[in-house]
Amino acid sequence: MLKAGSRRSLKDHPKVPSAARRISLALRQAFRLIFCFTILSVPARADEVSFEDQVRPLLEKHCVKCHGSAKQKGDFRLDTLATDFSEAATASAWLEVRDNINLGEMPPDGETPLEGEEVALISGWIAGQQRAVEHRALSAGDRVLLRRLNREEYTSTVADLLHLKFPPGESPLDFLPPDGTAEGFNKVSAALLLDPSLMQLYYEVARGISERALVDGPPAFPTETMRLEFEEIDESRAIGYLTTRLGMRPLDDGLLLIDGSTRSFGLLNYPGERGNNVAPTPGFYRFTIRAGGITGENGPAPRLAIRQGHPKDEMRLVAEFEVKAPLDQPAEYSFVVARDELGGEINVEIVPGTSPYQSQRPGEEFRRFIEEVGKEKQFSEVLRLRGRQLAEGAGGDRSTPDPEKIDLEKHTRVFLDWLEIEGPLYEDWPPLSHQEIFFKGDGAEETLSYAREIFSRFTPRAWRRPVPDQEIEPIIGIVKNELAHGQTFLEAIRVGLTAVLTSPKFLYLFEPGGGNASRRLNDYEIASRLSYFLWNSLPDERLFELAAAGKLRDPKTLEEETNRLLADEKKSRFVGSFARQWLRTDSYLAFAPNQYLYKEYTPKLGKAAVTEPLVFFDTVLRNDLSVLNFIDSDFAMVNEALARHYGISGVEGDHFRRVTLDPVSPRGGLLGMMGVHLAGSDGLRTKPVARAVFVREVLFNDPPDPPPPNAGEIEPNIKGERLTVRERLQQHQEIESCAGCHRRLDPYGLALENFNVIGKWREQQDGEDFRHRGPPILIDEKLPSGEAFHSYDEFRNLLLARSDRFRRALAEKLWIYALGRPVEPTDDGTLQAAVERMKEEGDTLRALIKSIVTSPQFLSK
Amino acid sequence: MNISTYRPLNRRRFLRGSGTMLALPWLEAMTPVFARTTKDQSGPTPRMGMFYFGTGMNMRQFYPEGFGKEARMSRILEPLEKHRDRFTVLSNTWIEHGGGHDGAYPFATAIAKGEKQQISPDQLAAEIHGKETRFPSLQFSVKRGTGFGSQALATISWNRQGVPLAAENDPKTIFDRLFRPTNAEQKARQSDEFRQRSSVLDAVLSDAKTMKKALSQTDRDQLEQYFNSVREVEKGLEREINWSEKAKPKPDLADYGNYQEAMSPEGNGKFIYEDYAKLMYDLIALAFQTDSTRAITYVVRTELAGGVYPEFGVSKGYHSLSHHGNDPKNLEDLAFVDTIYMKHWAYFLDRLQSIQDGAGTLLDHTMLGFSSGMGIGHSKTNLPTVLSGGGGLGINHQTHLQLRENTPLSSMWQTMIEKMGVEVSEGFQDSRGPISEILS
Repeated sequence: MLKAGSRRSLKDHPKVPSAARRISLALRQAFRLIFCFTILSVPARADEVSFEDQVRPLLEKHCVKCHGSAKQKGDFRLDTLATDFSEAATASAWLEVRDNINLGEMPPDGETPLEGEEVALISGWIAGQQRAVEHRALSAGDRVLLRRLNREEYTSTVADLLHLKFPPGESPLDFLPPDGTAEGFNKVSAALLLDPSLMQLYYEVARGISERALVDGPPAFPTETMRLEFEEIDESRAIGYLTTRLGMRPLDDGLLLIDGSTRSFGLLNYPGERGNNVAPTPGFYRFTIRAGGITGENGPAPRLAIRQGHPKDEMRLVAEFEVKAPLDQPAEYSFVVARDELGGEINVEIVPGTSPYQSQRPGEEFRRFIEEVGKEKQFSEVLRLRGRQLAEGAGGDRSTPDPEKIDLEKHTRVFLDWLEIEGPLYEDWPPLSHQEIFFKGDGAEETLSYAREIFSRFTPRAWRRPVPDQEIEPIIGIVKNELAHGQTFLEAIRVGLTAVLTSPKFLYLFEPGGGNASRRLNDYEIASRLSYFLWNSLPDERLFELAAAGKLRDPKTLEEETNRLLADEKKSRFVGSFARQWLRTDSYLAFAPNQYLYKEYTPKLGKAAVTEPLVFFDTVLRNDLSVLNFIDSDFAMVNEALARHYGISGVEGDHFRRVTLDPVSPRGGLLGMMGVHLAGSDGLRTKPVARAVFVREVLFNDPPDPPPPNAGEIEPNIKGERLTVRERLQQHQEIESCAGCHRRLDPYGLALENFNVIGKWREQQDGEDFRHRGPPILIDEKLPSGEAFHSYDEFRNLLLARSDRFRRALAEKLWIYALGRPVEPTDDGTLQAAVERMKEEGDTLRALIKSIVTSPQFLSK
Repeated sequence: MNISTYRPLNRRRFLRGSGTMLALPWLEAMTPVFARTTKDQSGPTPRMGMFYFGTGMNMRQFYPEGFGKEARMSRILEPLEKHRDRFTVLSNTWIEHGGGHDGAYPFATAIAKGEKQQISPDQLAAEIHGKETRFPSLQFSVKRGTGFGSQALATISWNRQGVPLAAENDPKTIFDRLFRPTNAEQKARQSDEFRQRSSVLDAVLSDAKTMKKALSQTDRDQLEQYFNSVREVEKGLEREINWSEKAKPKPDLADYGNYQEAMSPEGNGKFIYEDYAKLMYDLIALAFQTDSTRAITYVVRTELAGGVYPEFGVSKGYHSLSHHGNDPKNLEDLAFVDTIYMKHWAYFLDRLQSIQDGAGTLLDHTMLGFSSGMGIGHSKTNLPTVLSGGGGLGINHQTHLQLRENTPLSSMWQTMIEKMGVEVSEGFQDSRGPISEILS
């Protein structure tokens, strides 16, 4: 057995320099690759390498001569090295072996080198052993471990339990720190730790919630209505000047807006508050505007944006919408949005704006805008704008508009009558939470027995199970103590409520279970597993009823309930949590595209790229579409920005919708989405290896072996050379010790080379310094199975041919998420059955979800 | 009482209201706060800080030229020139399980990501000194929380259970905790608040006990974190009650930034990193000066995310730059950004040096160790390691010291905690002993 202390680096081995070696080193230096990913542990696969039959003979042949009983070069002996990786020193010695053979350091020059395949075999075995150890660290056999709620679950649970709606910045999500993840999800017990500072926060958040839920007297800021008649702007000393602009015409009963925006300075203010803000406190506010519009000649339909000054970008937009009511028959448009006390004045703008009037050199500004549109090849829009330029009184390209020549009738215009803001809104006062907890109403006698009634009603919902009287006693004790200290009944109940929400019975998914034998879950536990799986929250009334009636153990009821939960809007939490983590959308914006090379990239486009896969997932789930759509689909989910990026016409506005794709379009399926390529690039050039890792991990749950240490990445071309990313990567593959892994990995990423850094289709190399006429993108790869492909399309077909492996991978991911534990070898049969059933039932997520929730593992502790 | 009108939550108010949001170390027993314990009254009070600069630095322009006190400052370290006698650049440090983006995990503990963690050096020091200060230790970070599980770990402090201790990133929140006097309303409310918190903790602890009985053994192990956390919060409460009689210190803030208008790094248009860096470093100086705590950790830059701010005027994020691909522009930008961070560090040293502490300066009595989880190109060797301060504690600085190849980073931590009075009897992490060359 090797002792950590006595081990010396294998690299102490004397090296024989040779020309060949120098070259290979230089190549290595030049073409190192980085792998930025974490290794997920996967269940044992059938093709596992055997140490005795495969690894040991290789070590004996190549290594033991110098690292065996006769010699121990570098104080390193391999023939007696144990194979138990749970021993840290052993594992670390093996990792050193792997790194050295991967780097080609061992065997040293002059000795028979290991073949690429042999390197891959040894290195694969070591990686597999290491993974198994990591896996064991996360798992408790096939048992589901006790775990606390993650912060998404916590927030949804209190929101549903107490009917609370949190404005941004006020939600427990804003107070509780982000949770740890394991196996890629924030549902796994091993990652959901609890430290003293989090405990303290749980207390403070619960206390805050109890103050929000239970109130004394009227709200500090009652709901008020603030109204701005737009004709007042003309009379305002502060902003009356606005109406002298060409883009605005004051009318007797309002304001005609043709271009630009008007604002509210001094005219909209919450009564009694200083400043220029309609919102004195964080909360929800209703904005109502009465407006009508008309579309000018060839013009865009009239749209309005209401904005508010705010230090946070994401808080600025209040609403943007199309004004469909005619100019002479204005209608009211109403929106409820979250606002807070940091806001400033309100601004109403007609969009899209070209703002030709207000610049110093209007003609120049307009000309430039037209040029930009032209670059995007929207030629009809260019013609329209040219027309408008004339209508605005501009003579030639660079002339200043002449007010005399302006023809208002040709413009898109909006009539603004008034704007009203109502808030802060309280759905009920006192809030529903208050009414439900103090169920006897205002006049009730405030006795200890009332407190007892209150908590025997409330606690079973909060703790998601029947609660025997004696379990409430500690809470009643608190209430009693508070009353004895002269606190009001309300305050005493608040402290009691704080305790209910700080209790481990609330914070943990409590599934009592003794000994070693697994047991069937009871109905309440099933209800919770189901609702936390699909809603991230506590069971609703119906689930509680079914649990009380003992019906949830019936698979048929369970499937009906699954349908019901999936039909509820709360399922969007499942999409936002599972799909976000499975598809790794949080990682898409890690590298910003170089702003000089990729000018068409905007933050808005980046945001759309993150949303696209989630909307796509939601569509597949909602419409019971086949999950194979993730590999290839005949539709895409896009908004205007993305559609333009993909070259799809006829899509306007920021909302996502389904469009049918041209059969030759490369879009469709996950790998056609911009975000995936953004994630698999470093802002300058594509990273085929990172893309390959994404494909193997996300679509096939098949993480490749980790790279050797200090692996670099694809470097820029040496001056004068113009090698494509693929060519540079292939040079790396020529290094024998790298080839073993990379030949199996790279094809999955090189298949995607037609997608550039920002996911745009390309036929020629672009980015870096390939601005003009880069060499053509060449695809000529082989999957490890030997199947060749020569285009992205052929690659996608090969992926489709592996649909069974994809189904299985998806099932595994969903399994981890649903159970909050890693996949275990004993799950194999159940997962296989789930995949079979999914296949039979049209490959829907619904079928897969149903298999999981009716599986013995989901239903037992 | 009328505290119960409808008041929506506000994070800052919330945190100020009650309790130690800042993490508490694990203490065997709570001793009376004001009782001077084992401390040797004769020497100066030692303090220590540990600093994490995620994603390495441009090590090609980091190390000084030559060794010893005459070494010539490198481009990146140039801002530290005037303190050359008060720090030592330690070359050849490494973290066995570092490199890549998992280096923040073993940074303070030598334990790899994914394995059970152990207590970090600052917490060992806090176990000794924590009894004598209002806060046993403080965790600062540019990112709030722990970030546990992700590569962008937000804290480098771990308690005895190996649980990461969450960090705070808001200068105002930290300032208020340290120095904001309790106002009359809070004072009036304080005894009620203490009692309520205490009875809630009692109740939930009894809940945990009933729950534990019903659980299987493995689940009980999980619940142990809850027990431990509640006990720690109770101790924090006890500590708060003890300290509540003693007014918070009132530091002279004449040439300090405005903490009441400070911005936290979370998505606000007005955020300027330069101001933020100074506010945070000054808070550390103030906390040490007022003896509010003696052990602080600070994640100045996390792995992967952030690290570069608009006013730096470089086009890419720090992580993107660190994937430099030998592109001279990237390497240049990287060195440029590193230099900015070192200017802030120089500001910090200036500040500590300007504060009198007993017979010396605060810098003389404070040991500050910084490094990263990687060197350059995501390596686990050649870390940017510098130990500053502590001249009055027996650290004999060498400006640039070449250590043996692959000297574990833990050697620096061991050097520091031994000076803090922690007894290292049976080996410390993977350290081969303290760095004897700088011990006078």
